[in-house]
Amino acid sequence: MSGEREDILLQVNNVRYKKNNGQLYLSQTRMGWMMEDSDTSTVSVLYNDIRTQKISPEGKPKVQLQIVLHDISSYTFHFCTPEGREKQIAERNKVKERLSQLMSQNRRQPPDELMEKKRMLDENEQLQQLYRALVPTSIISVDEFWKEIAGQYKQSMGPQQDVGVSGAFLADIKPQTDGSNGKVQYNLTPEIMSSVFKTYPAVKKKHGEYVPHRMTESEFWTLFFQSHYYSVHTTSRTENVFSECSKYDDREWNRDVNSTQSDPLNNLNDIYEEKQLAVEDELRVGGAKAGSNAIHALMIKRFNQHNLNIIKAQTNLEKEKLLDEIAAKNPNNVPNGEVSQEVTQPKTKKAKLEEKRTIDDLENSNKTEVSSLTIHQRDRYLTGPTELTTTQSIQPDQIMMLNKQLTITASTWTPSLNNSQEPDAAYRSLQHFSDMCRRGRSTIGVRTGDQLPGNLHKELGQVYSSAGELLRHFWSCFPPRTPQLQEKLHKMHETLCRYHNVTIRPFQEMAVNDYNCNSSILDHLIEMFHIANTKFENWKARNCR
Amino acid sequence: MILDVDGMRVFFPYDFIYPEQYSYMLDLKRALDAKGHCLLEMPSGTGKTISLLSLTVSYLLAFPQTLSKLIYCSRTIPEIEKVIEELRKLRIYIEKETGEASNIIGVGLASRKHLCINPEVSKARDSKVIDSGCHALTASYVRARAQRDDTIPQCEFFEKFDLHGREFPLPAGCYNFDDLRDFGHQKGWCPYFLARHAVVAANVVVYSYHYLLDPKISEIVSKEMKREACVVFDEAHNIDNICVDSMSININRKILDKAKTAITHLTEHIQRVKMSDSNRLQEEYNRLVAGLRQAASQQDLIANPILPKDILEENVPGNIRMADYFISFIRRLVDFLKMRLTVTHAVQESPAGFLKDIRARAFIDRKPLRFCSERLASIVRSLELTDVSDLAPLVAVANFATLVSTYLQGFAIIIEPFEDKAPNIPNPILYLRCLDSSIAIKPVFTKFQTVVITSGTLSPLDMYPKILDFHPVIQSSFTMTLARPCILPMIVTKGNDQVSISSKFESRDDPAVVRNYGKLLVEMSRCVPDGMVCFFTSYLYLENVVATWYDHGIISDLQRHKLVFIETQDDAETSLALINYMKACDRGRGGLLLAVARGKVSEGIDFDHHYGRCVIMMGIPFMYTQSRILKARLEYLRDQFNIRENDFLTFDAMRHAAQCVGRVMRGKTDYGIMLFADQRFSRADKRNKLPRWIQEYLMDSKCNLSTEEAVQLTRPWLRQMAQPFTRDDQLGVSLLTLEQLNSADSIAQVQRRAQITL
Repeated sequence: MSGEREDILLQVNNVRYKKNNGQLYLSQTRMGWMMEDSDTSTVSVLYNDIRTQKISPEGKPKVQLQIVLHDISSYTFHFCTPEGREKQIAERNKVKERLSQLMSQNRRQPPDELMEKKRMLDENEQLQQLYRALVPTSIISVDEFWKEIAGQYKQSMGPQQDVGVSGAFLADIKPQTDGSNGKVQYNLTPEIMSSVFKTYPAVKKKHGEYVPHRMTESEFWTLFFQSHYYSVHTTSRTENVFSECSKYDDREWNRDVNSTQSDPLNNLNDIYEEKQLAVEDELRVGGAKAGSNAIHALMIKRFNQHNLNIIKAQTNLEKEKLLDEIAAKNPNNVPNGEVSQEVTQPKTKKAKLEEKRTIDDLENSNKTEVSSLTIHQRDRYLTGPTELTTTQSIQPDQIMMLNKQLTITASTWTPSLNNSQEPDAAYRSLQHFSDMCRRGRSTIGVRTGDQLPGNLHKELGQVYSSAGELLRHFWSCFPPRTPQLQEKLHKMHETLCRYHNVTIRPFQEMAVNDYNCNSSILDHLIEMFHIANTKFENWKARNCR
Repeated sequence: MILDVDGMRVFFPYDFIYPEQYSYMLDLKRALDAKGHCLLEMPSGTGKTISLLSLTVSYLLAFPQTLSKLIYCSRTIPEIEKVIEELRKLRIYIEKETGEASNIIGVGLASRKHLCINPEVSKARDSKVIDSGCHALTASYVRARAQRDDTIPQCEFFEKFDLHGREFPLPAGCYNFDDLRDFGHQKGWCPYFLARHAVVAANVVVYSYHYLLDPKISEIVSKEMKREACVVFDEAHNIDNICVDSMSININRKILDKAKTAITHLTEHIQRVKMSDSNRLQEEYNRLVAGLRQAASQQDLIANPILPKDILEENVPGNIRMADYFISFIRRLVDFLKMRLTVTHAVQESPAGFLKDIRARAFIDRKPLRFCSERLASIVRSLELTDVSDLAPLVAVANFATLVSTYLQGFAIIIEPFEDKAPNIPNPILYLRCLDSSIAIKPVFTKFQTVVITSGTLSPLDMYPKILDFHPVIQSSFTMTLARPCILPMIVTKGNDQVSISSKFESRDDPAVVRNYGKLLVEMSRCVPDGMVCFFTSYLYLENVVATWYDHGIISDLQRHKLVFIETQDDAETSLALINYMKACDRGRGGLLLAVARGKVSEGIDFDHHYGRCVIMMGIPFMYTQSRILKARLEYLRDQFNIRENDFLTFDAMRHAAQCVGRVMRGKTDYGIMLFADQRFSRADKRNKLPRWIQEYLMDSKCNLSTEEAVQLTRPWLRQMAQPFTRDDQLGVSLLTLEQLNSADSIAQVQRRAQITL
């Protein structure tokens, strides 16, 4: 709290907390209350901790605002300006609006994007280094960085999971009865609304149709609470917005019920053998549901429907996500028809039986790990090496003889150490190799790490890695067939030049000046740059002809 | 592995074995050697099926002269398929071990609905339609006519089968319904008749109970089975009810009306035939005079409902030989039944009383009644009727007549003015109930040399020999050896406010009890992960409780922790709820399934691993004790077998409770909590009727808990169960390898355990 500058966005005097007069103020990330004669805040609450705020109802003499935190504790502030009740109400409302704004801002503040990026950078040191090396020095712009380089790192993070719908979301709307007028108040939060929409797509459709042109939000939700969705006992027959929804739901229900016929293992209809010429059906005049209370049966059916819809909401979410993933992976492809209905393949009856049958611990689980073979060019693999048809045909018995001869020679071969090679030629080649080694060693300069001081070594590594990353992107543009690749090629070339100027030269100078190193420490890198440059020039010259 | 059970080589297709599987196989082998019947209770989820199959198949291979066939009877179609798959695995293993191709044939059999491949007939979903469609194409008279007349449609699959298929034995292998259909497609033969033909020659036959127990069906299908066969009734805890149901008939006014219509149709048909081809009826008459009985051919749909030994070997009596007389006889019978149904109060009488009544009022004697079904079947054959489904009500009446006149003992006739469930709708029903479950199963015990009755919940074991009237040579109950306590049975008797909870009729509607049940459920759903199943005693009770819970806000509390799914009386809706419950468990949301104790969910579905971590039994699932049928049965049991009513009711309730609760375990790495939520469970007479493998883990300290205490016990136990538990932890204790099995002290232990009988 101390040490940071905070802007106070709103300040209200004459606010009482626990019978002491003071000031209430709202800042960017938190709200607080200060007692009148003290300098420090007595109460300080971060917006992230606040769950909801409540105001006292209209008729009450006291004008109050209550903050409820996530851990159920709460603070109540009493607005008591001596200027009159209207002013109190006005102040309170102002505070309330501002507070809700700030709360939603703060909640949105770690938006997915920023938090994601931060998290990625935290997790991946390499990425962080690349970022630090490339972006602040404006060698690459931020967007490009995230698009190109960080693209690869994103895949490694696990699938993002959405929070499902809670089972009792409707029950959590605790209605509060106002004792005096018999009005019942329902507190509806956006989460509850989204849960309702996810679970009952029919209601979502109705909501889209009716709000805002035909009725307001509050009217819609009032009707909703009066309908059968909320109170399972309702069987009102009035022509209601939601009676259509109930018809839709019934249709869905019947469809699901009929689809169970196709499930062989869990279909309870046929588990018993029926006797021939049985007359059981005639006996039950009252029908299968005789004797049961119709209201109760309806209620039970509604329960089943409700829970079924909650599960369906989850499946739909997953299905959409899968579709999105598929679409994201190949944005250029035209979708090849409908994605199959079942996201996971339904297991065949045999597999299910197999699963049910096996008792795991009796089985011997000695499965050896088999590594799979990835073949990139199937035709070559399948057709195999082609025969040369230029050989003369050899008779099979000749082949046998040759084979035998081969085996004999192979088994009896002893290396004749005297005649393998001419001594002059051997000596000359040895010399040639050692020459090259010596030359190589001298040109490359100081290679071994222990001759460099520690952090220079590390910095050298970083420079190499960032340069390498850029060079990789550059080389991946070749051959530039499409205009996008050509553009990219241009951009990469500029980036490389910039990098060269910004990072490599000063690094070299620093290395030479500060550490008294060999000036040829970065020669290899500079050579790579030169090669890239020449390639680019060549390509440009060729293409601009 | 290949083990040695009492000197015989047994092929067991896994590398590890549970000790109780070994003991089970030992007992089974002894029963097979002694050629007697046995009663075995083995905990659910310990691989009972594969032990049975591997021991019996090895016995078949080792001693082919003593035992030539295994008949495996199971209750539901999914179970039949599971058995065939196990058999397939066993067969592959045997082939691998012995190195030579095995010639074991295993066939599953079901009704035409599952096996028909004729595109027109199998289009229909209803089995009655399929049956009559098949009959219309394959009855012997239809085929005879079709040979003369080309326009009459035939089933080409049946024709081809008839031509070639009977000589061609099935190649060795295991055939479940899909395999049979594929084979049928491939050869162009009818899979249903192929299967029926193949069960005679196959080594292992798997079908439903009815094919052995129901006299109407078993005559046609299972007549040619030889004596050297071992019959296994799996999941047989309900077998007495099945026996009773197979010989019981219910008739109401609707059926009688339809029977009347059928009679009118028959008359018209007879007139038509008389005018066109009077020879047929004359031939039939002559045949009946001469006493020649036409053997029940394979295609008959109307069969005799009584046991074969009770069929009179006499001529059909004169007053029903002619077709017209028989029709008027049947009409009189139907009118009499209609008259009897016009009652305003419930009536109960014995068959003898009924026969006396019908003699006095309708002048119908006993003897012609006994031949009713047979005569009807013969008429249908002579008239060459093809659409038999319309005759179903008439067949029911004929069966009723035959049954009531044949059996004077062990049956009761009850006429009730309305159904139990719907007291407002006047629907008088006449129930002919068999009270003695040993009648239907007696032929099985006498005919086959070994009958095995096995299940996970057969306790108390000594009840079954009494009510089924047989003498087992071996009767034992196995427990589970566990390396860690995988089951946590608890009895919760009171809520947190110390009010005892129970589903007793008097306290059912007490709001405190209902609220306590709700709180129990909420507390458990808070600490138990994944799926939870809760069984209620009856559907109406479930509805009432759920309605009360909704008003108290308990449902919303529940929904906060898990998604709630409720079983309804409609099968399709229940299937949907079940599928979604499993989806919810798979996704990690957790689900709670409210089901009914005698419903299809409790009978057919397994809740293994994360689908069922906890099962709660709300109350004791007694049968509806006010029903007259039940009272008649209890009276009969008391008089004949000296079984007290209370004992029988408790026995029945506890076996259903144990059955529900046992759904949750599958294998020894699975774990589950079994909560019995009723104050009456803590009493000794109920507790001792639980299966031994549950009783072993039900300590006294867990028998009288409140909700809070139950939660206290659950939490550390769940944490303990969630620790990694590998196979090595189990080795030596609850899982044995071949070497460990053959070590001396484990053999001694197994012998000791196998000696314990109840």
